[in-house]
Amino acid sequence: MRIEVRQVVIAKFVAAGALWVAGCSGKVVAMDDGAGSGGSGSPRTIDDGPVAPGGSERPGELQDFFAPPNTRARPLARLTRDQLRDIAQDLFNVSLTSQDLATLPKARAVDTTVDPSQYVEGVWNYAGLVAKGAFTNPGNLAGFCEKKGVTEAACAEALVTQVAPLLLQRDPTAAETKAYVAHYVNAAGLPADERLQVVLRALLMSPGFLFPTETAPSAPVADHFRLSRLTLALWNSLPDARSVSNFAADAKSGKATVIDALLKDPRAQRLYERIANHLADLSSLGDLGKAPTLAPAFTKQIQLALRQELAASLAKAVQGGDTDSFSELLTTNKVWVNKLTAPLYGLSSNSDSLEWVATPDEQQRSGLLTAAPLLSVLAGSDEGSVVKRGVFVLERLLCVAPPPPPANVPPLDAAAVPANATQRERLMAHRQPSCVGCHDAIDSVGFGLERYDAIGRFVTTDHGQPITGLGTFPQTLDGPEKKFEGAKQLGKLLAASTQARECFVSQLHAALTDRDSCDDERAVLDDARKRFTATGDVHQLVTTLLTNAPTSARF
Amino acid sequence: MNRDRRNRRTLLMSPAAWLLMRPFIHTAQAFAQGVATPKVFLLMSKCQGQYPHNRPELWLPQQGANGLVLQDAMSPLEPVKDSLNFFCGHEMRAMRTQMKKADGSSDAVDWHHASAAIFTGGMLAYGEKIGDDNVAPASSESLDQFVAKAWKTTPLLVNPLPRPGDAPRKNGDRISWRKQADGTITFQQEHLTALSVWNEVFKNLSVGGGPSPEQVAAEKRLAVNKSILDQTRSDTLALNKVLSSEQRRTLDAHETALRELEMRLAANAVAPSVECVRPGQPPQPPDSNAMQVEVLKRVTDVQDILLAVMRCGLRPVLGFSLAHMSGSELVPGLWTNGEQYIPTSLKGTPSATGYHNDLWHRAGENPANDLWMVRLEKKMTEFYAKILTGMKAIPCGTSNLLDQSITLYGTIQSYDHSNENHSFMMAGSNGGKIKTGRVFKTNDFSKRSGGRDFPHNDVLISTLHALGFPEVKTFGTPELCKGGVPGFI
Repeated sequence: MRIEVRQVVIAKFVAAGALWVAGCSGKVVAMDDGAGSGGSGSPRTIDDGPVAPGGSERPGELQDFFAPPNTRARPLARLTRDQLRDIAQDLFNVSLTSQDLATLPKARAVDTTVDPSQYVEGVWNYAGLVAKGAFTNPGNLAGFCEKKGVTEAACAEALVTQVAPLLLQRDPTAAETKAYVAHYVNAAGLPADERLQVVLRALLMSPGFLFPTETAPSAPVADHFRLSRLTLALWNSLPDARSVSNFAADAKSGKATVIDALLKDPRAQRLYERIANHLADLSSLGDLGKAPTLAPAFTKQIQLALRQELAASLAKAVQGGDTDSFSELLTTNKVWVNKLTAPLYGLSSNSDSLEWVATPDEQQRSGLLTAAPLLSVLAGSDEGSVVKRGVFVLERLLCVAPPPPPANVPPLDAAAVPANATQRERLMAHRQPSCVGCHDAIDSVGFGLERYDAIGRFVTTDHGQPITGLGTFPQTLDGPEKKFEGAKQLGKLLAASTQARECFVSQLHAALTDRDSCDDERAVLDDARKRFTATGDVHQLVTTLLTNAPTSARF
Repeated sequence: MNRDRRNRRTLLMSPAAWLLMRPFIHTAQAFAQGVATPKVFLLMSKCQGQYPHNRPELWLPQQGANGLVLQDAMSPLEPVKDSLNFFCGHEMRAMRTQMKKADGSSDAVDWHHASAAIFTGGMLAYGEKIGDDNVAPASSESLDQFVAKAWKTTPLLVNPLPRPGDAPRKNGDRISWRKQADGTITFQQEHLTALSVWNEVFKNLSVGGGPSPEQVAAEKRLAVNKSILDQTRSDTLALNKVLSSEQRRTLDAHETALRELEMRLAANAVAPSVECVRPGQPPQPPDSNAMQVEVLKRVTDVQDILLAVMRCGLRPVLGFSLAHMSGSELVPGLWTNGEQYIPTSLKGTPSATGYHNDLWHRAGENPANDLWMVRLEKKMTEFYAKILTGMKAIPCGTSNLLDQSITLYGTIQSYDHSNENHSFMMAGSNGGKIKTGRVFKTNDFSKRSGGRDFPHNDVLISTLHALGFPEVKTFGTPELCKGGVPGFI
């Protein structure tokens, strides 16, 4: 009877997942906001070099390189708070705090529930802060006129000529330039720097900047505009002048070269962190409270160090090197550690930076499934959580979201089980009739990760009793449920699963675009799923998604 | 909802409608927010003492059929009585006469702490207990500092009283309500006198009047910001033409929000004054004990310069303090040279500790003391009445500056050095948004401790409500707040 119920629930999960992965009408499962990094890239400045002239066509395969799709059918996207923050950092060397950005709504680019007044108020404040900071911070626009060697009258026009292409992703028209310069003229009487700030603030308020639509005023799409599509996806930001120049050179070698170059840039770290955050919300790392017996081995510094681990694994997979990098992502016994985090894996290290190191027992670790940052988030204060870990596998790796728990769930009766009962025994003892359908599926897969404690260390006992990691892999597109033992076998099942691979395509696409998939992307995504199922090549998947017109267009 | 936005935008986009609306932007914004932003917020205070609590008939205004009926002590306010509200019987719980230090020893409250409590509403130093309440130390922000920060301006605080002849006290001689972050009270010395105010505010004005450089810059920034938003709106409409109808809705809403922002910026801008005339440079005040004879002249000079600042719309947040640290004196001009205020029966009979103690520490012992106090209060009332009547004489829109403003007057201690039965006087209606002519009497004044249920923090909160901060629920120490004076808003 229990098996039948479980199969029905799983079948429902699978149906929902199939609907979701098939098209844009389904809602992405528990997607995060795509909170980016704090900007780990090296600061770029506006003076990095001239902007390459736009509007030129490229020969050969570049003729249709990033050709704009029919984006008029899509919702209009606006730059998000994280993007605005990273653009301020990359283009103007202005670091904005959360407090600085407090008036900006935290929402996805196409969120239709955003209050326009709040967004306008937020970008107005943002533009003021960035404009002021850009002319104050040394090494950027401070002393702009003197560095340019132009007279005061020509200074504003020089500023527009240099900055407008970066923000608008095209050259401004003569009329636009004149309009921006007019603000400088109107501000006569204010201090010179403040007059230039006025011009920059106007540029930052431009709808062409805030709503980077695919409908560039001149066709064909300019190099700069093409590049900005990629950098918004990969860097969470717009390209600086030097990147535009490099893009023109790289493009001659082919589109894969361009993307490779962008992926290796330090700013791509934001993408890897965004993907990691799509897979699991790691934002609590740094403030996770653990039991006193565990706390010394899991200090705030260690937690913060762990934040980079998943992103490093994803960076390795995305940047390529392994044909079936997806399998490695889920099965490898190597981990990214430094001197703070190595002890969690039974390792030692003297390195301040992350190292790619094999764990001593090959069976103990299985890629990101057993990454300490993930396992410690999917845990209580004193033990790992079989339920949270089971939900994670189903929801994030197989794209079958269990329904939310019902209201009024009765508390566990501690007296019903012995004090030394394992978590498995406690869960089995407390299985309520109304819960069994879902929890049978959730717990069965979560048991595969029971041999990791609340901070991600491998353990073999629970309350003094041996634990096995015996679990059941659910019925999926790949076939009926399968028994497995431990994380390693679970990782292998996931790595070989068509449903897991298709799910990863959807997750990666959502991370790249920060939106649900759209109708015009269905064929491309279907093709990507087919190819990725066959190869498991994450790098190829990213390249495919980004070089194909519909899916490369974020907006 | 989108339909509503489009309709509003269409209306607002009409040039004629825009021109017609422009004079009323501020008013429209005010109604949208519930309470408008006043033109001026003025805080006034004096040092110890006010109105005998046991003789309310000598000073407490009554609500009559034709408005407030003012007693003799309040009679100088007759020209502005229709603009007044009174709050009586509050306890300044943040002020204590003894405070426990961290080491358990006690220290007497000095005027610095008391003066800080009046407009910060904050628990005083050492974070001591009040009664059974555990009260956390308060923020150091005073009412005028709070408002100035919200209005993005610099508050101007003046105190014209001279330096006394005795040895300077710690933390300066004049008393401010500004408690600093380190717990000390420091006065902004550059703002002490009429001359220092003139040097800061009027010195750089062009001869013959005209707007100040600050005002010119503010108007310039407003014009530039409007120009930016105009262009942004124009670009938004241009971009709209190449989008789908679904996408256009997003940009329509964006454009409407831009126009609303423009209105907000205009509403918050400093309004140019049509009557700004630079006053003459005040004289350098004497800096010795001998100048006490000139104290009334110093007060008059400060009153005039404050009114000039308000007439020119140069500083919307102002403070006028007549509080002093001099040990035996209240206001030097009224004491050393104020024999005419002393009742005949008391003349020549000061106790060994001087007039100060006769007046303040023997409250209620002798009706002559009360009479003396009323005479002094009436003189003090004249000081504030002159400022309020001066504000009423300044045209502002269809009314006057006093009507468009909010002022609050209080003292740093109650009668007989108590922290009970404090009274406050508010003037101005914030453009008619605040009903005037009311007396909020919170106890019968015949008992002590009646104000315990009426912490004076509520007066500060209600003042912020009147100023257009309806969201404020506490000010100063939260435990001392009940959300405002009941029935005020």
